[in-house]
Amino acid sequence: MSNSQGFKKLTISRRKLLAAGVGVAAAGPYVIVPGRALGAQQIVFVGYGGVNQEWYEKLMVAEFTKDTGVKVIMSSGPDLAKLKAQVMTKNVEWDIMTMSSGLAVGAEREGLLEKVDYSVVKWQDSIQPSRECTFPFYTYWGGVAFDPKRFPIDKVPKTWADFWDAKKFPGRRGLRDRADEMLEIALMADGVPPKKLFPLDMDRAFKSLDRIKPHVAKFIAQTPQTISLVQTNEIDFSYAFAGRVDAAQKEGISMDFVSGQPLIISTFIGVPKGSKNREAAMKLMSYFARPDMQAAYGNALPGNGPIARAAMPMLSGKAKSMLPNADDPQTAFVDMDWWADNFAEATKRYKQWLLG
Amino acid sequence: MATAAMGRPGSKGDLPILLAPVTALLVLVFFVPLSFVLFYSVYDNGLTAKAFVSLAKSTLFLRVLGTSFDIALSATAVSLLLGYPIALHLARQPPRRRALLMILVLLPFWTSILVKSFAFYIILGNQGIINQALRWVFGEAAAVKLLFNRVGVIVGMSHYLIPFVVFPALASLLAQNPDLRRAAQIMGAGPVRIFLRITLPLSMPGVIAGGLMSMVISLGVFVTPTLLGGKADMMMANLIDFYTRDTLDWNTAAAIAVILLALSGILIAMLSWVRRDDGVA
Repeated sequence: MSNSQGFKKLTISRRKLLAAGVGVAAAGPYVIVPGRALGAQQIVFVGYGGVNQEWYEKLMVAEFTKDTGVKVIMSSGPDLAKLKAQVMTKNVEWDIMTMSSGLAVGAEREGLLEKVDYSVVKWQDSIQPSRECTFPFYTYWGGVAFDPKRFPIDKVPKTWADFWDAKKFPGRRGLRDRADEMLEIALMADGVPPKKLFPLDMDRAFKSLDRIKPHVAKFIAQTPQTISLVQTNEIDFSYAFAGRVDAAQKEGISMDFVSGQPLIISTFIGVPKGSKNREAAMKLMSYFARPDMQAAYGNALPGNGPIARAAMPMLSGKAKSMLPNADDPQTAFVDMDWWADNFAEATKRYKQWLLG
Repeated sequence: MATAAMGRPGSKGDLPILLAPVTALLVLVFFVPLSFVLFYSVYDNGLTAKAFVSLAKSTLFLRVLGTSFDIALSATAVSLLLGYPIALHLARQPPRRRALLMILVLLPFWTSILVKSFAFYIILGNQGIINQALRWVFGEAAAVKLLFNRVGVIVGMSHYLIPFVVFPALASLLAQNPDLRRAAQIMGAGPVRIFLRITLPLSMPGVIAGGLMSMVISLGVFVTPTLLGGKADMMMANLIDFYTRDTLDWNTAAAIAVILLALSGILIAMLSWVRRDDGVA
C-alpha cells in the first residue's frame, strides 16, 4: 500500500541509471577534446517534469547547448531530502535544479545550494528580487477555478472574502493541504490588504481558516486535483493556478478561472552545493534569467509570467491577458524571507489545524 | 521445499551457504539503512533523546498516532467481517473450484494502488456509480458523501486488506477435522451451534493472524488516506514524509519511524506467537 512511493523512486532511479549510462557512453569520445571552456561535456538538469520542463528544454536548454556544446540531461523529481542526502554524502548528481518556493527556501537555509555567480547570471530589474543562492525565473498565480457550465460568473467568488462567504456564494470549496499560499489567502479573506500581508499574522490567519473549514470538501495534496476534482463535480470552487486552467481548456475541459486578488508565486532555480559542473551550471542558469527566454516561455504557457520587467513588452496579447498586473494594489506576492524563517512552524501548525 | 532439503543427509551443513545470499542482501538493503534510521532517531549533533521527548509532547504527533490506530483498527475490523465469510465459503468448495475463486480474491493485488484509488472516485464520487443510482431511485437529496472522508479510506483499505485476512482464516478452516462437525451433527447440534462452538473457535488463530497482519500493514499506509480521505485522515507515514521532505527534520522523522517500527514489531511478535500455537501456518 505504501508502494506508490517506491514506484516513483523506481522511475527516478531508472532515469538516473540512464543518465549515468549516457554519461559513461558520452565520456568516451569527449575525453580527447582538450578542455572545453566550461570544463564539462554534459550536466544534469532536474525539474518537475511535464509541459513546463518540455519548454525549458526547447528554449533555455536548447539555446545553451547550441552556444556552448554542453549537453544537458533532463531528469525529474527535485526533492529537498534527496538534495540533502546528495550534499551530505558528497555524491551530487544534480547540477542544476528548479524549485518550488518552499523547496528553494529550505535548500538555501540548509546551505544546500552554491552561491549564484552574478557575474555570469545577468540579473535585470524584476518584479521579484534575486537571492544569494537562487533566483526566481517565472511566476504563476493562484485564483479560483470553476466549471462555467455549472456556475455563471456572477455566482463565482472573485475576491478571497467572496471565497470565504459561503452564504453569498454557495458551493463546495477546495483548498490545499499545506500552509503556504493558504495563510496568505486566509488573511486577504479577513480583510488584510494584499500588499500588506507580510509578516503574516498567523493567529489571525488560522482564525480566518476556521471560518472556511466547514465548507471545504477537500484539502488537496496533488496539484492536478485542483482541476480534476472540479471537473468531476466533487468540488465547485477550487484554489488553483491560472496555467493549469489554461491547459485544461486546451484539452476541451469546461473550466474557467477568476481572481480578483491574484496571489503570485515564483519558481526558482539553483545549483546544488558541490555540483561537479558548477561553471557550466551557472552558465545554464544565466539563460533562465534572460528576459527574451522568459518571454518566450510565458508566450508558450499562458498563465506563467516572466520575472524580468524587460520581458513584459515581448509578451503576446494572449499571454499578457492571462497575467495579473504585479503593481496592482489587489495583487499579492509570496514573501520568501518570511517563509524561510517560519515554514516549519507554520506548516506544522497547519497540519495540526487540519486534524483538529 | 525446506523440509525436503533438510531431509537429505548432510544437508544441514548446506543451510548457511544456502542462506548466505539472502542474508547478505538483507544486511545490505535492510539492516544497514535501518541502523541509519535508528541512529538518526537519537542523533542530532550528538546523542540525544530530544526527538522522542518532543514527540511525546507534540499534539500533532499524538493526534496522528491516534488517527493511525483508529483507521487501522476500523479497516481491520471491516476486512475481517467481509473476509471471514469469503474464507468460509472457499473452505466449503471442492479444491478445483476453490483454486479458481482464490485467484479472484487475489485480483486486487494485480492493480496498482494509485489506479485503484482513482477507480474508487468513479464508484464512490459525488457523480459516481453509487450516488447516481441513489439519485435515480430516491431523488436528488439521496446522495451520500462516500469520498474524502473516513468512509472512503476504509473502503479503499479494506479492498486491499481482504486477501490478507482471507488466506490465514482459510488455512485455519481447512485444517479443521471435518469429523468434529460430523460428530456434533450426530449429537444433534444445528448448523448455527456447530459454527459457533466448533468452526469459529477453531478458526480463531487464523482470524487473529489475519487481523494482526492487516493491522501491521494498515499502520504503514499513506497513499489511500491521502487520495480517498478527508482532512483528518493523516497517518504516521504521512507525518514521516512531512518531517523528512518538508522540514528536513530527519531526527524527528527517524524517531517517528522507530516508534512505528516498534509498534509493528509488537504486533508481529504477537503474530508469530499466534502462529506458533496454531500449527497451521
